[in-house]
Amino acid sequence: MTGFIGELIALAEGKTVYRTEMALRTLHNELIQVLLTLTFPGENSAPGIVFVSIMDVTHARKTEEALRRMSVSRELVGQILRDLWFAGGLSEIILFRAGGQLAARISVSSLAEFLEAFASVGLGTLTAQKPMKTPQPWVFIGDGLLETKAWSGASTCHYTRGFLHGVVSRLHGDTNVSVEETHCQSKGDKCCMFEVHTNRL
Amino acid sequence: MDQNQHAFRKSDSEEIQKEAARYRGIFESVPVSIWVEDWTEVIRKVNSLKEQRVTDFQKYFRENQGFVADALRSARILDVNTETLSLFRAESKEQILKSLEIVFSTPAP
Repeated sequence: MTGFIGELIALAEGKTVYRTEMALRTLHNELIQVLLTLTFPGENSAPGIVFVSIMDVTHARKTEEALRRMSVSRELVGQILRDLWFAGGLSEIILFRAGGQLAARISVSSLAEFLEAFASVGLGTLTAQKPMKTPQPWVFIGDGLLETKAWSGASTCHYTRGFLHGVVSRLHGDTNVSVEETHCQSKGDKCCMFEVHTNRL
Repeated sequence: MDQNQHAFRKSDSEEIQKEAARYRGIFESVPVSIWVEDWTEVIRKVNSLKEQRVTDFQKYFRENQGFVADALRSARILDVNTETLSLFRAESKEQILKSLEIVFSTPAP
């Protein structure tokens, strides 16, 4: 009835087209979300004839809701990690190991996919800069990393260091890897920067 | 009517039939549910409100649910296309026309 009132108002106000989104029910008693468009009779159409088109947008709305929930979850995870870090509940070594474990568990195979996965769970963005020539280290630039704080005077991105250690170890089959955070936004630097040294790079 | 006029009328009628079949094909094959409804009586009822100088239709319809229910019953569904059967999981057009109360029995937003 509520939906029909909207249609009646549009007709009474002289609109030629009325669009709305509403829930309807199938004959199997399932609720579906639809976009409904009514075209009222115009000067050149048959008097009294109204065309109604209905598009099913149920899946699109479910996807939007899932993305919204995922975004909320990511924010919560980030907040919990920050709170723990501020409270001093997570030591440098624990964070480093946890980052390494994340890299070990992700089922991807290329560097780009690792970095994409890192960003997709809300940990921040990492971009890789290939060395101009060996034996220079690979450099990773981090921005908006979860672990950065307003000001700490020291490098704080130990989780990310552990992650990069895990990624490079997996990609090159070399456990003799060292990762140093040379710049950090927590120290007031413009971005976080990591240098990765390994025998094979 | 001479022979030429008769031939012309026959050809004209065939063209109209072909065109009608073409539009019927489009109507039945588009992947969007389409309903054709006759709102002649609904339009008459709404126009009578304008003649009574009703201007705030939102308020009027909210306060006169009997008018709204009556208007809803006045809208006649003339046809629905094949996609409508698929969307509402009906087996025939007759089945969906008899099940409108189920289709529109949705929770208030």
